[in-house]
Amino acid sequence: MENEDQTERIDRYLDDALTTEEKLAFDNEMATNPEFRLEVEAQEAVRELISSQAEKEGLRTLFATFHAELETAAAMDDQQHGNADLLEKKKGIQRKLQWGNWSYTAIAASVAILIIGVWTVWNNQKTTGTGEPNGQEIRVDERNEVFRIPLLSWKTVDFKPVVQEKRMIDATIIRSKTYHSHYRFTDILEIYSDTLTEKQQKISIAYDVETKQYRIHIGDSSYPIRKTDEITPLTQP
Amino acid sequence: MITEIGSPDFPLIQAIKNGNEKALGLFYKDNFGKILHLVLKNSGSDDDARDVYQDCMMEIVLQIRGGRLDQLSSRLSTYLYSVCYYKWIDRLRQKGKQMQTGFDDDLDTAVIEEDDSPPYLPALEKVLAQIGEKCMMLLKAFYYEKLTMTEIASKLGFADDNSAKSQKNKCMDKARFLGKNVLKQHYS
Repeated sequence: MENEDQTERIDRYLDDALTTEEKLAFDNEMATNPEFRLEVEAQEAVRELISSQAEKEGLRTLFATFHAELETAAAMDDQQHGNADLLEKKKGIQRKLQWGNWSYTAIAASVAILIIGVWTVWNNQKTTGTGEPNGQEIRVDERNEVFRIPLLSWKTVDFKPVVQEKRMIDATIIRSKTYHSHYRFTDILEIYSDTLTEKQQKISIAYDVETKQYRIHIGDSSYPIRKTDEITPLTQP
Repeated sequence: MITEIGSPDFPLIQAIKNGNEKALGLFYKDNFGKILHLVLKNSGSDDDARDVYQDCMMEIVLQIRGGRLDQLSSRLSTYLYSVCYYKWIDRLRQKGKQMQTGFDDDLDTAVIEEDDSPPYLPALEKVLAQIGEKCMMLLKAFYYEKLTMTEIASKLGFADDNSAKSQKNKCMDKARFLGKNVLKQHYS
């Protein structure tokens, strides 16, 4: 190519490195020669594109590292809390549901109906209102009666809530003729509701380390709860 | 969410802007779960979630570095969720699918910055591939990494800094020629 000097001259202009005289001549040439002006614009655009591509490449590498760390942490978390422990817990819940008194048999039947209901709704790809405040879906594992929700322990640091620990706990939604908007909270969380069936609802539990209080978040609503073996109403204070 | 109550995200935005990788890493890891949940609930896979998340994270980091989020009125996590949400809707649309579930009310407050990149950029990107990989590496080393010609010569295997400089100028000449044609078409 013929214009080695031209490339460097344009670079010096774009880097603001020309002398006053050189810059004056350069500006004059740009004003009178549209072809030259286009050359300058093109070089500027190429420089910007190359820098932008390189920046994106750097970020992509960084994100890949973060993601790998995230996956490693999740795998370690699983290991720490123990898959065996989780399986044991699930088995325990299933045992309770299978071999307990009549009410547990009824609960299991209700959950099965619930799963079939949700499956049918998903299969038909319909979205039906639930009557809940924000009308979202409840999450149910199709394979068994148990699904998992996050339990976030937090405390206030510098007037800002800071998460101390995040772990997942087992939860189940139970349809009951007797109880509506109730819960029982031991190692697992049972939610008694006959309306949360068709749309997904984000459910989580927050635990304030300082006040030692639990709060369940269901969509946009939240209720204080406590560890209890009794079926207790979900109520706002 | 309980993690989102409190002071605005000015310190976080500034940290990311200043290239604090630790802050960016924490922000990345803290927010992936929500996007994973959103994508999995709406016809997507783990890989889809990662791809869309990294694309919107890229967009946001570039906006932060460009100073466009200095006055962000919503939480940065809320803004990120909005960008990912709309990006995922677009991808579902491309696949002929629809979003099944909505998102949190507080996202209404997140106003998404418009893309202000020049309209000829995709065309320029396409033609620039013609200069070849070695030229791209050379231009990147000079214009982005700001390496000296001696460093470039050593890194890319040129005999000396003069050869590197001469090759750099040739590469830019070629790139500028291609770029000029793109601009001409754009202006015509």
